[in-house]
Amino acid sequence: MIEKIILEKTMEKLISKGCEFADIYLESKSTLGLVLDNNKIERITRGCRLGAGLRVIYDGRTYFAFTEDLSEKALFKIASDLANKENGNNILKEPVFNLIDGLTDYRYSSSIEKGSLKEKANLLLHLNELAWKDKGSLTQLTLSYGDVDQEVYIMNSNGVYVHDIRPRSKAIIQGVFQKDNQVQSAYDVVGALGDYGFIKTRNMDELVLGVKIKGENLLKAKEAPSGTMPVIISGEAGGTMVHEACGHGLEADIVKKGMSVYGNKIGNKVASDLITVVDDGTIKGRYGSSSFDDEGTQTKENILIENGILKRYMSDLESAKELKIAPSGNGRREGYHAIPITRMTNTYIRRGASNKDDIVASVNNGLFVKHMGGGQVNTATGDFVFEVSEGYLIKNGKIEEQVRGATLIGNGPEVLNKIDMVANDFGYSLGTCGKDGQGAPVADGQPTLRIPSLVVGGTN
Amino acid sequence: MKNLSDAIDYGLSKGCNDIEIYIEKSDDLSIEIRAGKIDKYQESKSQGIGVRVIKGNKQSLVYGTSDNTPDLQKSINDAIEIIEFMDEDDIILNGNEEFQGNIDSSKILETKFEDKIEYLIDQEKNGIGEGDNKALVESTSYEENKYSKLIINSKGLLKQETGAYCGSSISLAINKGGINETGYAYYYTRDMDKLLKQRLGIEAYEKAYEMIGAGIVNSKKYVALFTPDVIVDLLRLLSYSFNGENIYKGKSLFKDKLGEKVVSDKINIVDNGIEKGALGFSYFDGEGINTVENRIIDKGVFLGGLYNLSIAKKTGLKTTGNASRSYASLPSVGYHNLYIENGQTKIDDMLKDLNDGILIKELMGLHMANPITGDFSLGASGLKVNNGKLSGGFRGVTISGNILDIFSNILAVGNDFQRRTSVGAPSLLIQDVIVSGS
Repeated sequence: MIEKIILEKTMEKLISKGCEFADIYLESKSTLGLVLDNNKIERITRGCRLGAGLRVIYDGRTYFAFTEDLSEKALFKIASDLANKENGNNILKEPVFNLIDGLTDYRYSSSIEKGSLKEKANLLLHLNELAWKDKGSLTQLTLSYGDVDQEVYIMNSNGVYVHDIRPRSKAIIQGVFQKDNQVQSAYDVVGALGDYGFIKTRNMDELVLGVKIKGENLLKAKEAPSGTMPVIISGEAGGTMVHEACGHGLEADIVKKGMSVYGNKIGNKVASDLITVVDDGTIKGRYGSSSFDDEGTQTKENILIENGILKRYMSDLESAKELKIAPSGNGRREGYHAIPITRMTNTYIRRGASNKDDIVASVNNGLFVKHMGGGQVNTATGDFVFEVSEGYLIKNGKIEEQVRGATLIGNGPEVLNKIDMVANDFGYSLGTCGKDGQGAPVADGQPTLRIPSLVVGGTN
Repeated sequence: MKNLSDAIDYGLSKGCNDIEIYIEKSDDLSIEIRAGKIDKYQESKSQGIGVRVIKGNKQSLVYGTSDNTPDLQKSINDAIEIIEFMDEDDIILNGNEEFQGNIDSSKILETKFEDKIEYLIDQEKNGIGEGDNKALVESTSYEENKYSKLIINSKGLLKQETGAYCGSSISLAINKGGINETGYAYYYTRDMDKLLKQRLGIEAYEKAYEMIGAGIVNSKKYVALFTPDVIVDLLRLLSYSFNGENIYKGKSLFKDKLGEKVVSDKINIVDNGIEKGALGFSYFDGEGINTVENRIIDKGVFLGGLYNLSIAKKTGLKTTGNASRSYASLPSVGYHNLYIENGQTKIDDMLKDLNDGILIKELMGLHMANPITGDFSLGASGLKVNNGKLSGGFRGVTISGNILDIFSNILAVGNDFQRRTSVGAPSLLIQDVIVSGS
């Protein structure tokens, strides 16, 4: 995209006024999106954004600019302008840059299979036809497919110079179902760090039929109860809870500002002994994986909480420096237009020893959460909410009728301390996590676990 | 401009019926301070170009960040390749109209950098507070955006608009007995003077301070006073149903409800894209149609949704000038400047008669609500009200129900209209609000 010599000269200008750190993030992001709605391929959008984000830091103060004009002249001007914002007294050693290519191992498959537009359009048309055959209560169906080819070069004043290619693909199925005066909607999604080849390995037919079953069942479900009760969250449910209840609070940029309930608690017991929480950006094919983070730090497995004890925070370079901890490979950014911040990658609670059936049998009167939707957390208080997209009542140790419209509300540290049974099963979900206006692809996972009491906000 | 008309000619020469090019440019500045000093400073110029190609009854869009001739030609060629896979659609382009307008926001750009910093320092200082309950301010930030948009097509349309807006936000926490209470305030406007009058630091501090010692409330149906901020959140949720595309596709609560009473007769809802000075004001929409004032709900009766050209054609209606667009997308439907009209009742009068009631100040998890069914179950926090007096905070509870019930069970509309962004509302006093707590 840009010759190394130009990047080096730009870097030279960035560090010329005695900053403590500088970096250049060069990104090309090509996207393709197809939407089939109302029985029509309604949108196909293709595009490419190409740009560079430049940053200098003087004693913790960050100056950032980005540009789509990648000419030598434009880059040099921005670099000089940024450098001139302050006059520092740091003397950085002239870095030597040797390009390191990101590993391809973390992708779903090492073989490249981009797929033609025709194939992708045909897949949506096929799935649409399948869904409408025996349509049942289905009244609206939206199928979308999107892939992104992101290529980055990252250079910083510590001598980091890396190149990483991250193909991601995703397919979403959304159905609206109507019977009498009842309307319900159901949804499912698959995605990976990987190209169209990943989607081809999925049983997409099953996914579409699964959404139809979900929708039909929701029409039959009764309104969820309200009140405090035992809650079992299934391993199939995905990891929205771990993401919201503790993940965000373990991000070092939030911790350093004093806005996390987990601040200054390294070495303390913050969860039940049964709980080990991990963030791992290296898991093959997972939506939140990459070889390097967006600051050129290698991703790795980070054990955040081990048997209930807080071990470490996730961090980007700047917050790691301020908290005097090692960078964890969690400095991520939405694109060249945004400053990197601490973000999760693939976050999960490790499996335990209990049997899932025993956990269900242990509850007399409670809620079984089979699938979770979105969530939100206030990291300073630890208060979180998340949505139950598929839930069932538990009566006398048995899963009984389905309920709809439930939300779970609680406090992260409290809930993690209360969990008293963790199963040996496991499941993942994926999503786009929003923070400071930036979206990032993430995955979350957990085994089946029991929370002895939690507030369930139903509509009944 | 010649590169654009050349690209249009190039597309037509390749057998396209029409070509439309949409360009957005922006100059951004954002400043974040901590402890009275600049912590983050960001300055950027960016642009995006979307090329929309129409061939037969099909259309496609390809976007990029460069407007030089070879890149525009490549976009057109890519779009032609894509179009083959599209289904036919009702496509109409606006044409034969030229316009150039500037929304005056000169004060934003004329205000000295030092004055902007001073405003932030002031807010941060107020946010920290005094005495025993000092707050920790997470961030205090200012941003401004100077933008231009241009739409040009082969039907003779050429419209341009320039403008700017600015805004500020602050978030903080007060730690009392090991428990954090958080406060947040923000304001976005085209009017620098209005922003400089906002006491965001004090507002955020008070939000947090009021919540110290907050507990939980009992599960039951409450009479609740909702603040304008919370009503704005709920109005955003309801706005999904005003969207003509959702109405057309049966994903709206107001499908087949034209002329019917859908909410309380105390409610009037308007999308007024032509309100000069409002943040959501624009001379024309994403298809180059002049914006107008659209009354959506009048005395509880649904008068009609919001439409762009193609959705209007499908439904036999007229566009309401609500084509929403970015350079990276084909036109969809969106609101400009949406609000619930102000009411008559003083807030003190609403509180006066409230016993064992609640004042809801914040909702959590709004993106989880289902806009198609209107069902929601959200985290809520605020203040308890006893014998007409505020009596301590509550949190950790949910409110649930259906958005139409909420807007139907209205007892009174406040006279405290507030707008922090492009959506506004007054406070509403609502009965039968289902709360799950202890």
